[in-house]
Amino acid sequence: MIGLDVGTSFIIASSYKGDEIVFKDFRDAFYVIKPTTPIASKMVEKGLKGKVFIKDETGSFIILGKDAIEKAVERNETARRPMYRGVVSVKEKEARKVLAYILKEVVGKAKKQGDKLVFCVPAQPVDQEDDDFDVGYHEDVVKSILSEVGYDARSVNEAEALCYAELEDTDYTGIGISCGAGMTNVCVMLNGEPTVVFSTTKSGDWVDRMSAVATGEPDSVVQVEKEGGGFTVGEPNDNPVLSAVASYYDRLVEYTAKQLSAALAGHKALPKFKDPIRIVVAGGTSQADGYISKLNEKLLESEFPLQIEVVKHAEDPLHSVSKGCLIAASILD
Amino acid sequence: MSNADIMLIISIIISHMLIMILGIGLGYLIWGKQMPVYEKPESFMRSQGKDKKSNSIEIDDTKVVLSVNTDGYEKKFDNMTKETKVKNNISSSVNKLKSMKGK
Repeated sequence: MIGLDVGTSFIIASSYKGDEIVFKDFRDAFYVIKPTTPIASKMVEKGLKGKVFIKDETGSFIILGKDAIEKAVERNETARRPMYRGVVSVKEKEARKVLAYILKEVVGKAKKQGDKLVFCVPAQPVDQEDDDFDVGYHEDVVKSILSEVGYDARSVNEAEALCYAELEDTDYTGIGISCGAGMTNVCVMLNGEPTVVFSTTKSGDWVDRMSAVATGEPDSVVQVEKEGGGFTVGEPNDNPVLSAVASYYDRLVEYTAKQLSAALAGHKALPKFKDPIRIVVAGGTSQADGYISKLNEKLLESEFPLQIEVVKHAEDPLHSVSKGCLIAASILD
Repeated sequence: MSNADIMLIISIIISHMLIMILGIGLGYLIWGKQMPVYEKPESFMRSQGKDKKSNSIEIDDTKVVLSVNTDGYEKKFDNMTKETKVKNNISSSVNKLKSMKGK
């Protein structure tokens, strides 16, 4: 059985191997090079030796994963993504095909027909309403791809999966916030039952985009600098790119806290918790220095409607959702 | 209590009820379509194996998922993922959740 985090920036599969759990991470990005002549094609292929790439029917080279980002940065361009804001990208013509290829390669063929696989899907966003965001279609596309390689695939809400992975100590009562690249997903859980789920469409990619506009650098360059670290959320930095990133991160955290407070204040389904609640945060975007303390600070400032016991970072922020999906798959058995 | 007093009380009650009904009607006309309708999220555990039923007759206008053929791609690498292993620390979570869900 497999747990699968299908994220905008990373695809992470988890499975059991003896008494261990194996995580397989793959960077969700691609970059296409279309050689114009047969000689150029040979040169390009030679240059790509050792990289992760595929060749399509037209002779184009599709570089995948982190190699795609590196190649894009090298050419001062931006790598493309098969996913956009948590769902399969409708803006990218090749998105479904590339996503299908990546998913099949990451999970491999099912050991036996009908093997259980649970993958995560985002919740409906509270700050965007358009036809581009279609969770149902995204879910159907992923299911159809995975069934082709023999899996009985089911979906679970992304933040619900995070709660399964991180809230055992509190009897599965608390709030899970998954800060991915495309979206921030939230689940309020009471004794293992999700009571409120929603998402916002501003997260790590928004920071990259805004910082790219502010500095005139391509998104991929900003992304690489950002992931290199060396900045603290909301604090000035000598490096102009990191300075912009730190500032926009601060705004993102404030926006997330305000959205969270507004969405939960007066919500009909919000349980009346008798004790202060635990908030657990995961996802690549939450890995920036100072993110958790800033979120705690902004939640208090934005009059968060519940008493907070602690805002805690997940033990393994990048793998938590995938782990939650594996737990969900294990329960199905 | 005189008849006039009783009539006065009844008329006050009726007028209050009328005002309330008018208020509800007016509220619905003004905000009715914008009022948020909250649907409780369905737990992953409880949603398994259940068919979604709808009482009204609707056409299914969701996007059709066409099969994606990736056979045309020629693989040019050996391994594309980064693997990490951790000790299996989820058995207790699985057991606890199973007992909570009554499985």
